[in-house]
Amino acid sequence: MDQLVQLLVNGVSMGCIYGLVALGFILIFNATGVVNFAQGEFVMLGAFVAVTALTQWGLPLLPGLAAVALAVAAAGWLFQRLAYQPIRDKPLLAIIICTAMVGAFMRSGALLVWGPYPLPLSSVLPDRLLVLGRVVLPLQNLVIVVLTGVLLLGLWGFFFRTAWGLRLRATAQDFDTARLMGIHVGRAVTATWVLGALLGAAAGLLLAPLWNASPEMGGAVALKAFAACIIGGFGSVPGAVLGGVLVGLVEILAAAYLSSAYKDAITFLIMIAFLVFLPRGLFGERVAEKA
Amino acid sequence: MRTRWAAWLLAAGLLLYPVLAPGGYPLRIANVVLVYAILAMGLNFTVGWTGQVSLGHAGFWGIGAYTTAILTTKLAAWPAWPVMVLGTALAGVTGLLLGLPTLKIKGHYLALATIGFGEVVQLVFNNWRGVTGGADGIAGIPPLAIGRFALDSEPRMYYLLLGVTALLAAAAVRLRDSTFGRAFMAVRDNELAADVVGVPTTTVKTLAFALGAVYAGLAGALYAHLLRYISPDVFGFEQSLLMLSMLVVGGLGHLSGALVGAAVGVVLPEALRLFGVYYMAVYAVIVVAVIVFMPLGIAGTLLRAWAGADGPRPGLAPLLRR
Amino acid sequence: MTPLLETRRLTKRFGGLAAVADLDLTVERGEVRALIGPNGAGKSTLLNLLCGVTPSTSGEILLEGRRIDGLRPSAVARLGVGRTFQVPRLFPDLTVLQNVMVGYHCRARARLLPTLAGLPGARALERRIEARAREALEVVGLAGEAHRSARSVPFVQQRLVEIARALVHEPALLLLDEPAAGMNAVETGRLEALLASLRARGLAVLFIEHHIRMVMNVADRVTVLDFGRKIAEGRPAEVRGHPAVLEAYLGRWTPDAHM
Repeated sequence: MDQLVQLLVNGVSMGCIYGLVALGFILIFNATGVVNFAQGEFVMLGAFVAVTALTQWGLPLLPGLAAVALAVAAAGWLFQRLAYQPIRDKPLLAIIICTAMVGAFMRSGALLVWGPYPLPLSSVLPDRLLVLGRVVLPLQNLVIVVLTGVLLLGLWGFFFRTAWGLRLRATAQDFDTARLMGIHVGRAVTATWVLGALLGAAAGLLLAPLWNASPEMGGAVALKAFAACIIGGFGSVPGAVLGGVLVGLVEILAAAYLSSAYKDAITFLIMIAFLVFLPRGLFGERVAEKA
Repeated sequence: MRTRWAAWLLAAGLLLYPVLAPGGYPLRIANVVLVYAILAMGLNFTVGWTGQVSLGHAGFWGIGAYTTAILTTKLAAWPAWPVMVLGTALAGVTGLLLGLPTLKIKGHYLALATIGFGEVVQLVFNNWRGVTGGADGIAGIPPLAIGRFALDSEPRMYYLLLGVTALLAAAAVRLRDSTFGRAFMAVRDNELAADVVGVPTTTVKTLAFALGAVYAGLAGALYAHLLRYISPDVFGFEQSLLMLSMLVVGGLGHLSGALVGAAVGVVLPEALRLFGVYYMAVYAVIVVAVIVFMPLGIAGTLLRAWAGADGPRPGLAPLLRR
Repeated sequence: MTPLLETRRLTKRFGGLAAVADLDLTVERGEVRALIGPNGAGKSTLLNLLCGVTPSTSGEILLEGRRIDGLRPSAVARLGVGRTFQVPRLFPDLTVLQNVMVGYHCRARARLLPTLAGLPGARALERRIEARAREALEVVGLAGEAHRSARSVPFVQQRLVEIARALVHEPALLLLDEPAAGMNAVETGRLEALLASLRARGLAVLFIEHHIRMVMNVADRVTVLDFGRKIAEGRPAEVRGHPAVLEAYLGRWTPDAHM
């Protein structure tokens, strides 16, 4: 029982990270129709930039985080300018290959800048254990859950309480109508890309103390985030977050009770099962089948 | 007439390549190009002709390679040729089993399902240690032999691979110019219209998928015998993406595009290794540039220049269209 | 004798709206039947139901006495229903000839391994398919365009290619969605002659049309739909004077230049 509580907390905290990545992914998809196969690379970028700013340069926490946010926002803007704008009218296959190739470019670039060895990031989250009766929890995991909650609340406020948020939502819902209503859809799309990059970087910041920053860290997270989107329902914003939490739980429970080697395989098989039998996921809209 | 001369010249060049470019390294590169040519031709059935996105092609490749590696090494030590047939068939059957349910879904859903499939296959290679050797892979795969003539050197493997590639290309051409090929392209061009004129679209898509898997399985078996050592990291998403990029760079929808793309996709990163660890960054930029500035790809652009914009060419102007 | 095509209380609802409601329709062998009605009367929906593109909500569709509702479009095609679209749906990357050859797919019975091996049987089949496709192109008067790429063919001719593609698998029933739209008088005249020649070969044709003159010229019988219901049926001359038809057309529908 105590072990189960521990597992659940760990699963939810991992799931929060997946959920953040999935959220960035789905926001971009809703606004542009682009399935961004480089989303995981923003996770990696966030982690690496944080290592540089906080550990290597020794910036204090808040200025350091601001520097990370600024750098990743710039990267997100560059990404949409160089990788999205030239191909946005191309068919799906071209977009898939382009974004994935830009992802490869970013991994390769990270290899050049930060080297192939994982770099630790320790100063952001307290590395302590929390003992509650007989349940022992890493404080980090609880902090991840709390921080994710705060972040989501902030996002909710942004989307539903500010004019900018309204513009982004309108653009995502109906591009053409939003344009007719006088919304600068181009700017809204750009802002969405930046926001998606920032969400990825936030996940990277939370993940780096657990996994260390490495060029390959993004790929593993991105696939889980895809699975989260499918399970939650492709296009559904709450579905992406809840899907992320579910993927985290499935992974931890599968590792504990079935097989730690095949925990990822189980996640992906569940994803394929959803795609085949319930393509709209748990919370998604019906997939239009009309030709 | 000029075309025929060019073809003879190309054939002679290919046949004489081991003489013209002696030394192990250029030949090894050529052999790897030929393996990827088979892979790309297979993927061309699925993506180029039938228009279904697949990002799990390396999984089928791995199934062919691992079947050969497992069954011809010390564990079983079965004869190589029947094992090659078995591995190819196994990849094909897997393609059939994966294709039947998943080819009803479309676009990025299909892309994600095939990624998931590729990941699961790679996880099995990595974790079924007793059989696959885990992350260490399998060494000591014997060379192929015809009777007592061992194909244990690069030039010998080169001629085998060249022959197999030529046969498979001929088979693909026959298929393209048959009812099957037209059905593939009909599904790609307008699935609803294909259905209404009597093309059973799901069957056709599954067939294209399974054919791609068969080519990939065979390529895997040949690859295992070529390298004599395989490990799971080769058969992952990056490779599936590389194969897809080959089709796009070469010219999606053209068989010649698959062949040109395979050559470019292997030789270019190899040449770019001079740039050090960031060769992948340069390759990625080149691929994106081709998509943006030359959407027909190398072979597609050349064929169009040769035939004129409206010229009748089977399978001209592929998926890179609005 | 069973009719070629029969629908019994055929209904299709989109949400609460009935696009086709309780429709009983019978088409005999060798009959040319026109389907007319105001925009939004459910004509195209009916064609989609008949060829299996849209699943029906309730009711039955019988082809030669056999239920075909619920079958996939390709299966319906194999049983002998051909169709064209209001906006032609060709395969743009194939040539005109190849487009028509695709139409023979369900009759071809090609086998994979002989094709891969290039056996004589497979090659003979290929020649036979090509001959059939050329015949079909001859019938619609496009024999000279065989090797053009489909994307480069003018709109009106694309529709003829579609008809050839539907004809090549020898359907018993041909469904045409506004075949004369965009055609000038000469082209419409040729189309009328084509439909007459198809009738002479024993084919049944069910076509949607807004060119009333063409309906009068070629249709054996006319069915008038309004709001998904049949409001009149009969020989063209009878239908023309039918009060319900006049009301449906003159009451709400703006007659276009072809009237």
